[in-house]
Amino acid sequence: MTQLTDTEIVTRIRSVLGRTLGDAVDHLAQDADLAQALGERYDSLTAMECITAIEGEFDIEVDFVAHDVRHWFATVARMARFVGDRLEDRALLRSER
Amino acid sequence: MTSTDEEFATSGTCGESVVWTRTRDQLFSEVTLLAEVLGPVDRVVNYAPTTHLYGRLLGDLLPAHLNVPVRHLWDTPWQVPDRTPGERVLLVCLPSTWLMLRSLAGDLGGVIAVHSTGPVTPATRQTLTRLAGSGFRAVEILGSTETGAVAHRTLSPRPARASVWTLFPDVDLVTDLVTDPVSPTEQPLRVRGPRNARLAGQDRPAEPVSLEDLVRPVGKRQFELLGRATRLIKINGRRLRLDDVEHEVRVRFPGVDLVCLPRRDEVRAEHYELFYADDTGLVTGQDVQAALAKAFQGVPVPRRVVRVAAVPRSATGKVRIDRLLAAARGAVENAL
Repeated sequence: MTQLTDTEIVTRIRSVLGRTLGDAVDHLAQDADLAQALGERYDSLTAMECITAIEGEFDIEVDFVAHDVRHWFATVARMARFVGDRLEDRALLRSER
Repeated sequence: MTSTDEEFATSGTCGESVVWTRTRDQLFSEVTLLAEVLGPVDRVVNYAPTTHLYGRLLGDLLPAHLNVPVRHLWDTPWQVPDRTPGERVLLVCLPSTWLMLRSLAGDLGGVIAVHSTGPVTPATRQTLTRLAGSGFRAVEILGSTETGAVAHRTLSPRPARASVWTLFPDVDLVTDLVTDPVSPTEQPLRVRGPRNARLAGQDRPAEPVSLEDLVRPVGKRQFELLGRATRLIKINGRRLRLDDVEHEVRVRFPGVDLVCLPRRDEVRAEHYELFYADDTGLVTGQDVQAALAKAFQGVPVPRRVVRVAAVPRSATGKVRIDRLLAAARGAVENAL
């Protein structure tokens, strides 16, 4: 599988978040704190929904013990970096096999 | 209501609230029964809001009854419970909690998760499978604000009799609806018990109480849970009748044909999707979503709103769900 570019990852993350949070996500800066920007619309259960949706979109799994979920899922930019790192790890593992 | 009574609101349909009163004795009795089913506990980690009966019982009253510490984490459902080796920790779970629990590892002997408030999700089963052999235990409680805890069952990755529930000892299943005792038929879950709540303003509890579930009795003290008897779903503890949603959309957008389908949901356990046909082409999914958000405040809007060319129906007018889902593939799906 071809490695996704950072821009592609961000676009797909915005699309995934948009299904849950609506088009407000389109206008958010990448480094905007979702909880602050969206208020109650990004409550703790919605955050869990977004985590699940992003896992499904990129076929990755969040490790709630090892990963600081509160940090990595606070902004679109951090989510993109998190997803990019997981995809990179996966590609590396596959290349070593 | 006396000073020791407690009130719990169930969200009725269309947003109206129904208040149920429980005496302190009823709550104490329930906590005692729950403690017996769950076994020894050194500490409680609670992921359920204590404003609802489930969270109040297991997150507040049970720790007080057992005189053990409790940590409330319902605002941070992603936070993994801390634990010292050998400690018997009770995890009071919501459906979303199971996503996080799959990340636990190692020796989990003594850890017990209690699940209620909605049907078991695929994440629950995935977690149970991953943690098999770790000592992790899980118990599911079936109940309602009106009745309190009605029945319980042990959750395991490959249960021998997954759907069989055991009644709590003070609850009786009303089986007079069963017409053939040799071959019991389906019936509503209808129970009698001393913990039934009183409707606000009434002196005594309703007796018996019928819940929105279909069951098949197994002997006198057990039953199989067959599913919801009606199109009532519960999202985030808020009840919603899908018939009411459809009615609201029809009133708001005359000429629109639609159907709502209940859906299992990883995070909220239950959810629903809405499929509609609009010959005028003027009604967007966002319009529908906005109308429902206004009509059913505090209840999540449909997980998906999908516009289809037509809602397929049989000759008798019954929705052909198979054809509907086929038509929905590639149809206009409005971002929610």
